[in-house]
Amino acid sequence: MKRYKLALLAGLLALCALALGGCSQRGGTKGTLRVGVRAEINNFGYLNPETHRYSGLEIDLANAIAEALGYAQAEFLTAQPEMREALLENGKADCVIACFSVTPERRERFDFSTPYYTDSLRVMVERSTLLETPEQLGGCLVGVLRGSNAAQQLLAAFPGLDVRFAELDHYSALSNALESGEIDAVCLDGCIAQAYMNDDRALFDAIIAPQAYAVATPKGSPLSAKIASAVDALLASGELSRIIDKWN
Amino acid sequence: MKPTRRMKLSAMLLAAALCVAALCLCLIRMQGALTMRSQQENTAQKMQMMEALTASARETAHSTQAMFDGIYRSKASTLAYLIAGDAEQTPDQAQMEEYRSILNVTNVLVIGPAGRPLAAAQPAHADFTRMRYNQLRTPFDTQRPSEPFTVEEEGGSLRYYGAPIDAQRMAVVVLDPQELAQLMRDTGSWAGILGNVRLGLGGYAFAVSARDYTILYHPDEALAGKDALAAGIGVAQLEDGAFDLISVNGERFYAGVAKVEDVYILCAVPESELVSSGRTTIVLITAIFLIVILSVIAYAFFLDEANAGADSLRPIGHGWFVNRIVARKLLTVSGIGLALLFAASLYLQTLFTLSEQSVSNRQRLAEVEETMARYEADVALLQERYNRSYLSKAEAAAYVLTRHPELATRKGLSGLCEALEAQSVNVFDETGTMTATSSGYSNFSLSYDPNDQSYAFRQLLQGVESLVQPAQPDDISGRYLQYIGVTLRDEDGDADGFVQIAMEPEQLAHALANLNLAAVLRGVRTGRGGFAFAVDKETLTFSYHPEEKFIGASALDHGLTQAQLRDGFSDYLTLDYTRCFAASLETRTDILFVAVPASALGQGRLAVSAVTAGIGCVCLLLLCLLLCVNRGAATEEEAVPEDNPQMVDVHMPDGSIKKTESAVSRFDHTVISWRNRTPEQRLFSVIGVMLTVLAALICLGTAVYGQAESSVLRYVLSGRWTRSVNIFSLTASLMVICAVSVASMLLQRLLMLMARVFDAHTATVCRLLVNLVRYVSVIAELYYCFALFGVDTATLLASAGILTLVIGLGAKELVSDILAGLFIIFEGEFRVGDIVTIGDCRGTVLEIGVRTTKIEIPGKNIKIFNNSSISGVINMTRQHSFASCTVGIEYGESLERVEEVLARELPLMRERLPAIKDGPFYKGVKELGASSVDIMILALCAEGDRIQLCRDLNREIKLIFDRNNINIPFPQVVLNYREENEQP
Repeated sequence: MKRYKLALLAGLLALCALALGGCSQRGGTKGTLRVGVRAEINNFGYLNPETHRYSGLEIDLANAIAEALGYAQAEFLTAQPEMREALLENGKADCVIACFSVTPERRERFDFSTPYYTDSLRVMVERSTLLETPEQLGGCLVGVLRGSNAAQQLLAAFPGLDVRFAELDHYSALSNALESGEIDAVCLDGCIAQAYMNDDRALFDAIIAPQAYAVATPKGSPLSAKIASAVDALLASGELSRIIDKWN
Repeated sequence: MKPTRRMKLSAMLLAAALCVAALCLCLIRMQGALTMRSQQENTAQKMQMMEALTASARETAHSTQAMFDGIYRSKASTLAYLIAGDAEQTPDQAQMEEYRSILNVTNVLVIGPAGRPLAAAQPAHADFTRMRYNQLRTPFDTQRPSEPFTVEEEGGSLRYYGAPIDAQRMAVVVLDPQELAQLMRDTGSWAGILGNVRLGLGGYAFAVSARDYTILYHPDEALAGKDALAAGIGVAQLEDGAFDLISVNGERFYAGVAKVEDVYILCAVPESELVSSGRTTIVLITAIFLIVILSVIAYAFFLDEANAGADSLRPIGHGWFVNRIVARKLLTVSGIGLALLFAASLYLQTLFTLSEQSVSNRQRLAEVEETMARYEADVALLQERYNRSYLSKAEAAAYVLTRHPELATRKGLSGLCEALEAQSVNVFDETGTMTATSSGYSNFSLSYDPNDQSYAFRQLLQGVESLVQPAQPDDISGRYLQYIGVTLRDEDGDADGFVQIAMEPEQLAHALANLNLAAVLRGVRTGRGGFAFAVDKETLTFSYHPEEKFIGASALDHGLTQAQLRDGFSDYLTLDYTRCFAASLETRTDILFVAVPASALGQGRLAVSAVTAGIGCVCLLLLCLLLCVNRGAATEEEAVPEDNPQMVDVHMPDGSIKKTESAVSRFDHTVISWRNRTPEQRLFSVIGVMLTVLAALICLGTAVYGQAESSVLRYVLSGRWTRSVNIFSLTASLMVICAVSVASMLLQRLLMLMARVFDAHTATVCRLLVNLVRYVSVIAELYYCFALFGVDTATLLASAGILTLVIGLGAKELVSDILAGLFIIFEGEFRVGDIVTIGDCRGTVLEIGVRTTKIEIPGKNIKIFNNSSISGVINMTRQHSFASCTVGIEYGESLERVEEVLARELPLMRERLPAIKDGPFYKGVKELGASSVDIMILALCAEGDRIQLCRDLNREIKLIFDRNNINIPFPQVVLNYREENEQP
């Protein structure tokens, strides 16, 4: 009998603990920093489909910021490129750290911290096309992600280039089309290009439209200044370069 | 035990525990650092090997792909030749299908300059006008076959090979590259590269993609393809050149990371293995230290109980005294203990280092064996693949010649030869005579001699479809060529000759060169400065050595011995004045060795032992100091051990008085009660018990953990080391001796128990058995140990006859003396200090030598016996002897009066004669003599005093009788003088 009582007591205690834990999580929104991150870019933001855990440079950065701001933890939301702005505007996320590049148009709608990473557009081709420089792209069909500004940037970098563009919905679709030859080249972010590289493909040396990734917060958010200063502190202390080193 | 003493004992035990803990901690630290360092070195070497291994695997993969592409590129050329031969018009679909089946590919096509398909065996889905196929269309510009490439599609992947036909057309061969993928998996995959890599005993290598952190290869197949980060590896740990403790699926490993291309290769050794290898040493050394320290404490207390040296207390102030005799004894015991500790530590370290190295050497050899087996399999596979592709070329040639018999001219065949990339193409008629050839040799016909190379092709004329001959040096040109023949048939399908092509198997030759022993051994590293070499079995010369100058030199001239050049060697050897620890493996042609310089082995071994001894020294000194310092003189008077018949004082040759066990007690195997033992005896009993416990624990440990692959004991027990004087045979001998001794001791105890319980006859048998068991066990131990040390025991036994002869001839006396000496010691007939009678000589044993025994006889002279002449020994070493005195009284004397006088006087006599232990006793009338009544008086005394006491007793009795007017009858002579003048 005594053992049963003990077990009962232990069970009750466990229940209480769970309930308390739940309360503290739900009750204190201040306890978690909600961060929109990428889910499909290795080394930046990657959601492991088996463990359902995010990992990568931006995840580490988000955790560091959450810690610096005194949050108990950071909660991650998957932010696809087209969803990033919506996440910020409808307040579902406190900030977005999702390969979100700083542009003048975006600056008007969001607050940005100091950039933590600089990336650029790259052109990827199959080696069997025998193409070696962007200038040879004349007459080619270049694939870009729907909604990205890659096409404009490529044209801006190589004015007068006679190329046609094909807009596809996913990076994987771009990769497949490149493989089958439906498109002749792909123009996309360097960090993503790395994920789709293989021995039969090549990246052009040309670096097009360097873009800076920064932490974005809703315009006028009380967090903007805090996050910006946290990023600055991470930059100054060398912690940020350590994180980037780690994921390179 | 008094409370103060009990307190002191607890305090001492506490101090001992502290000392042991300190030593243990220190050892764990040092051993840990040492293991880590050596493991790091090993791992670093392994990783260097990894890079070389990966590079060579990459090269192999590259050349495999080149070979594969070569085959299909030449098929494309053949296709182009066939189509070109069919004149201007482009073949129709059926024709193309026929070509496809001859070439045995997925699809064949003819395309125009822009990529427009002109003819195809199967409809092509791909749009060859796209940029993606730029590379395929290069033949239009270069007039050379294009570089192949693969296009992955949803339905599968296809590989394209192109060859020019003319300015407007080119031939395309399409292939499902499954076979290539399989080939690449076999040769270049991470499983192929890392699958055979072993580290330590349970370590392995695995690969993690640097791009997306998936595990590309892991021996545990369940982990392959999983996320490394999810498995527990930290991103920060994955840096080139890092060494760290990582955890994979909850198990901890000590791993080194190397980044090769886009992949992290991790060489991991289970942490448990690193810990366990050091743990046994630490446990054993600590146990030995514990035994030493406990022995010292126990000895101190035994001495204290015996009140030893109570008169040699020396004040050191404040009422404290130091007992100098106890101090001296304790220091001696401590010194011996320390020396033992140091020796044991060094011994254990060496044992563990060598056994680990031995196992690792063996692993390297196994790896080499595996690599060679793999290479051989690869070559066989390669050969088979080549044969198939060559056969398909020959078939293509047969096809062409059947359709266009007019090509069977030198010019026609030259063109065909070029398209097929063959060395030559020959056509033979139905009689086996060459009718046309592309080469310079004509007028050739098949040989009728079965030993000739060409004879085998006769079977083609008898209806066999095709023949692929193994590559061999050509009969005519001497070049390394491979001939392939395919039968030509007439309209009725009868054989009317055959076409033969000659190929030069370059790739095969390259692969064979790869099989070269040197190529395999070059990559082998073991331990610091370790290397591999091979000795040719036939010539006993070095067939491979890292240093060029050795190759071809005689192994025997460079320090190796014939006995070392065999399979399964594992010991030290000397190679060119360098002592190396090596292991060997025999292959078909060579004996392979992996060796580590002795200097690189077990570095820090001495340091660990010295530190162990140092800590031990400090601890023991401290303990000794505490133990021999007492507050106040030992006033407490312990109960002096009562007189016991088992212990006897003997005068040693150096003049000191020592206690010894009496002969009776010794022969009787009676156990001396604890109270009666000397401190030394007690100490030995305590040490004996502790050693027995240790031995039992070791046995238990072996039984429980001995099965573990990593166990050193297992290695020692496995007996895979070389039989010679080395640390393993020493260890095995010790283990055997321990086991046999314990078993024989138990058996002897049991028999003695039986002897005591049962009747006299059983007792006699049992005693004999005890003796027998003792000898048999000793002889068995000796024999077995000799065998372990590499002595050829069978020869030893066989040569016993010769030994007997030698003994019989010359050294008989000497040998029998030595044997007799051994028997005296073994049987314990007497020992030094005993009073014995040998023959009619009574004296004290001074020394039992190998050949002689020295006995001090009365008068301080020394008599020397040859051991073989010692017989009929009376050992008189016992507690009491009797000194007797027989004295006669007159018949006229009243016996009662004499007895009354004696009863009065004898107790007084005892006071005068201190040698008397008990008595003297009046023992009655011994004899009614002719002229006297002889009475007997006995006194108990030590054997050493007996003879003197007899004399003293005689004197005393005489004096007593005189005082009491008791006459001792003596023969009286009455002299009668005859009167001179008295005449009868």
